[in-house]
Amino acid sequence: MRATIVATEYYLPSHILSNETVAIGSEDWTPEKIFDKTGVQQRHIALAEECSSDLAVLACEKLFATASCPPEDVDFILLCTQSPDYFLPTTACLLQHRLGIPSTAGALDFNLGCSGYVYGLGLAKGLVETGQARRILLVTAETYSKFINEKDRSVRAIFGDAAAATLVTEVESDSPGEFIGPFVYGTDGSGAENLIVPVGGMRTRTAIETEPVSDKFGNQRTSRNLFMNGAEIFTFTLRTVPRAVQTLLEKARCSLDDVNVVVFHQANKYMLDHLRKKIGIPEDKFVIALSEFGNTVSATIPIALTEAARSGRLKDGDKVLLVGFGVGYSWGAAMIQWRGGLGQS
Amino acid sequence: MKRSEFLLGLAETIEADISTMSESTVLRELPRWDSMRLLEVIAFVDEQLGIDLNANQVVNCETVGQLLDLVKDSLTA
Repeated sequence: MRATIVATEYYLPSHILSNETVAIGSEDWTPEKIFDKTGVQQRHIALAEECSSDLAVLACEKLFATASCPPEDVDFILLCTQSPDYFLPTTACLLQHRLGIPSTAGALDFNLGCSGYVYGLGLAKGLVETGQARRILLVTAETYSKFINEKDRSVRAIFGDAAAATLVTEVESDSPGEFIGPFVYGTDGSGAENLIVPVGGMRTRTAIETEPVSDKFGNQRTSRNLFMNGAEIFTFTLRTVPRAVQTLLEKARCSLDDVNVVVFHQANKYMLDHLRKKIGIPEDKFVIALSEFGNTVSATIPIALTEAARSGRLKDGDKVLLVGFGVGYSWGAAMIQWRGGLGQS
Repeated sequence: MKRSEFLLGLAETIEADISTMSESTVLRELPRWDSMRLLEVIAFVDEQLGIDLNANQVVNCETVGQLLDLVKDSLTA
């Protein structure tokens, strides 16, 4: 039997952070400039009492309705998050309880960022095609806003909060080939310090300093805040993403001409445009879904897929190339065959 | 690529006035010299020269001249 994506949905917290608000206090950056450079018009931000599990529950409930799949049918939960409700217990266990998924189901969290969705698909495929599970709830839920300093424009302008839920199930099919796969994975831990929340984990539990420090661009943060070296990450993507795409195409024995839709992790528009041109992907195949959501980390790819399906840009039988890349450094690329009409509204 | 072409493109990228830009132009004093601008310089160099700049090298450049030093071997007179 083979694994396939049946449906995808997402949930955005209701509070919106606009470019106008981000631009406050900045002489150089107007709301228009922010949109022009990042491609982001607004981001949704979780309130203090909204955690990743809360966003996840709402995304999953939407998915159950869309896919006409009751929670009782789910036998495995995979949750990707880097902002879990607790260090322990596992946030996926909380989801099982809150969603009314049977206690015979497996559940686990995995800690990845921008590459998380692709890895999640790989894990889901593995579980299904080895007969370990039949209906996987793959969830990505992230609240990076809770790490971000209000006075750090470099990240505040870019990141948004969201959760996305995908149903991956086993399916019988007469057509040859896989619906999910092949995959290309990659890791480079030498890039660890370029996208990091230095304090709060076990390495350094509490910060020594209490006052934010300004960097050379006037962005302020403490060591409890998210730090991103955008320039380093950019050069990382330039080195890594084109090669990952090439390797994936070789593994899939096809060329870009055979691919119908390309969805990259929606890091920021500037980076995406540059990568698209560098790799030679035609504009009409390349999905950009950033302006309303911002960079929602591991949710960007499933959100883009959901939007592309809804707008009719993704059709049944389409060959879709996904690439997630970023924090870690970690990257993953996968080919999927979109099977529309099974559950997507 | 000719040095003069590169300088023209660079001036546009960093929003410097090409008529007054020189090797001693201080990058930090240019409009919107920030993390986004670094991306734009890196992208410009990648696109025009196919060079993979090390981001930390760019961040440590104080002047246009120091930026030029990073790529001068790929430029023709």
